[in-house]
Amino acid sequence: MNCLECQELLQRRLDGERVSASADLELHLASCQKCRLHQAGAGLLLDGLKALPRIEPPADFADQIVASILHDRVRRRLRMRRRVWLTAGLAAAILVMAWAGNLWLPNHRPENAPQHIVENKDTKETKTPAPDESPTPLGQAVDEARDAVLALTERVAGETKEQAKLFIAAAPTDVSGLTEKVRNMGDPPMQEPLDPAAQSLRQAGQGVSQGFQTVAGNARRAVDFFYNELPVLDGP
Amino acid sequence: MLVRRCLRGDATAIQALVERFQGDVFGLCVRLLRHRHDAEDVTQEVFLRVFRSLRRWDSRRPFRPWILGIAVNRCRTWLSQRSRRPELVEYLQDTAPGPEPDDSLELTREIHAAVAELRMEYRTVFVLFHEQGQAYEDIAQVLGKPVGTIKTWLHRARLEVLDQLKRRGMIAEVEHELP
Repeated sequence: MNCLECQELLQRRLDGERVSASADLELHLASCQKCRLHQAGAGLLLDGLKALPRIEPPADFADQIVASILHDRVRRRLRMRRRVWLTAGLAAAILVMAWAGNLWLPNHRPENAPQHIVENKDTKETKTPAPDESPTPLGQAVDEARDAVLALTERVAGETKEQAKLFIAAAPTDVSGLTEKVRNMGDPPMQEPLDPAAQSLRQAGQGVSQGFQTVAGNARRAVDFFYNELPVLDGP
Repeated sequence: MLVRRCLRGDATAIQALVERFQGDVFGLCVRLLRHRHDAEDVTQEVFLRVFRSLRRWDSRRPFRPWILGIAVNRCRTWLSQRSRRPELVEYLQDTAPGPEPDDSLELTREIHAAVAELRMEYRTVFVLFHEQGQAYEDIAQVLGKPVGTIKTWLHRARLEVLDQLKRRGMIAEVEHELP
């Protein structure tokens, strides 16, 4: 028997197994001081563990614990009830607000409120539905929304273009015919060459105008795309 | 069943369940925390948690490892919190049972001191096996580790305790005579 096997036996003994002393073990213990010490220590440990007093809790400890458990249970129940009431109250408040808003908002719109979302003589007029009209189908509503976005974008682009023209008109007039030509911006390209200052001003005006046209085009495409993706609704 | 009655809020059942397990939980807490007053607080906390999460207990599994697992986790948390506070060493005063030391008391006190020196995992396994009489499989459930790991930890814990006892002069050199 070697030290490893001896320690294995020792562990089994400490596990509570009955390990009978064999001649091999006795021979090894007689020759190995380390294992002899371990063997003596294990015996001592087993004796000591048997003599270990059980740790007892205080006398009324169970009563204290039970009282705290019951108190905790009542407190948690109250908290839960409060939470339920709070949630229910919140939900009821939201419902009432939604109901009131639904009732109140369409009826109390001022009579002289502007009916047009966008006023632009160059674009199509977009009307908001009158309260007594039948509900607008979704397709029509999206159509109107698209028109409104387009009109708004084109209006902004138009205004910017006008401002650019004014700005160019206010530029130094030592360039013959420049003001007149800039006023006609958007017409076929000018044939006469301009001096560098006038050219840069013209390019700036065109750039602003083109930028807004791009925005308008993108918005139109986005609304068209959204409109095409909508499911087809059956009419009434 | 006792747990089912506890879930219905039966105070008698709650009392019975607490009385049945308070000794194990409290003993484990005292050993792991080495502080009797802390152990009382933690035991109370353990039972509060047990009753809060009683519905989550899997009734196909034994109850004792489950409750002891909660106790071990609470002790770990408490120790990590306590490590940030000044150390309170009351273990020896609290657990010393009597004034006049005889041989067996001396030995148990030395074993306690040696166990107290062990690292947390070894100490838990040692206490659960040797003091609480839990089987390897149950300890593995308590700690959520494989049985092999538990055996290794217990083996190392015993060797460390023996080393401590040797260092304290409790194990004398004995001549071994062949039979």
